[in-house]
Amino acid sequence: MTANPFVQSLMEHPDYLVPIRVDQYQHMLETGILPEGAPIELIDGVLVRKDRRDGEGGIMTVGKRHRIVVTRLATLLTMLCQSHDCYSASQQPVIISDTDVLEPDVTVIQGHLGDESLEHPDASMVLLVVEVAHSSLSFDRKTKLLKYAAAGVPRTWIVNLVDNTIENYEDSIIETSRYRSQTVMSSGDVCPLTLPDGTVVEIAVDEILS
Amino acid sequence: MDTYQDYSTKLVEEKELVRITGEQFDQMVAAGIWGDHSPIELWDGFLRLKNCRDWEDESIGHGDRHAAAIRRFARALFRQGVESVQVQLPIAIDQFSRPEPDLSILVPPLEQYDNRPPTAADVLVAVECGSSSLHFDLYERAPVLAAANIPTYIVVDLVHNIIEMFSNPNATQSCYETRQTLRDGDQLVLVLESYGTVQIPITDLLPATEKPQ
Repeated sequence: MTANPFVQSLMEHPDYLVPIRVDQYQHMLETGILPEGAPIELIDGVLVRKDRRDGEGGIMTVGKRHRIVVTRLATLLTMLCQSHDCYSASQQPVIISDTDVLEPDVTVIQGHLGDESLEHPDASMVLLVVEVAHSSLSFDRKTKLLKYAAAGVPRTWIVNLVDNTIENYEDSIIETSRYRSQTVMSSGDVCPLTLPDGTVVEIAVDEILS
Repeated sequence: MDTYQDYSTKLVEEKELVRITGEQFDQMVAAGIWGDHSPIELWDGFLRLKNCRDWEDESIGHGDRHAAAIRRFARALFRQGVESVQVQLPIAIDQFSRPEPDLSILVPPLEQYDNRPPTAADVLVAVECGSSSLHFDLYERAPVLAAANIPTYIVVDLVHNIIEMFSNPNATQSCYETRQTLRDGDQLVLVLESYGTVQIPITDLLPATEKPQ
């Protein structure tokens, strides 16, 4: 996308950019100013379109592989969460900061499905965030990962559709917006996840990416 | 990401930013989302804080001289019988923009704007009073207004105590073809549809120059 010159000039004076805050964003969704279900996230107070492509097509394309992988993950995680005081959701908006509302491809949230209030959950209730990435890989790693770490999300998986691996980030250090541990799993490996009651479950990379 | 600047430039390059439309902005203003105090403009789909300070070292606020200049201009217009004027209110110049000029002289009658913001075609003259925002007003605001075919754009330059008048917009080139600089002792001459010729002495438009202690 070539930068529009007016937007460029705005970015050169970032102190004058008024970020949209979470409460204002929620108001826009509640009153229908922003269509519910639109593939939009709030990043640093700016509305950004979600990129779910498989490396080609216009920005609105949802890659077939992207969709298949997200479905597999959501299904598996739902099964694993049963009776463990947590549940799995897809495209669930999560409040990450005052000016960030992100929609990870799959989220594991503490509590019960029936408990959810109308408000979006915040990071303190999130056990795992999964981003499935092809076209968005670089952005997800550089920007979203930092935000999840800064918000204290205990574990993030980036499913790398380009290299067919799953990057497992755990142990967030809020002060530096980093994860202490980073491992890359590929075919034959398993990804661990610790549930609220201490149970550790595993997902085989091949179940997701074959 | 090191600085906000690095990040925001990368955001522009890598992602598709979703612009807020004029209609969405109007709804947000109507819902009172920002309260009344900050002058917020919609600038090509993004929310921008308008800089109304007199001096760079003030915190964001409304400078006394800036406010005085707006009042002087409004008074000068009303004295000449120009009464279809709005102050720091939005003009809908395109689908994604709602700038709020310090003053706008509109095509009368005023009542037609009761239920909708004025569009570019309704604006005869846009006026900005510039101190801290002078560079932005002269070099970034002017092209946007010219592209929207706003016939006359006036900048009350409170730094140099002059008035700059831009006219003859070239919409395709996004620029004004005529620029006139007027000083104390000169007359501002406006030829306005529905009002005829209006003459205002520049002295009447420039407030006192001392920084308050």
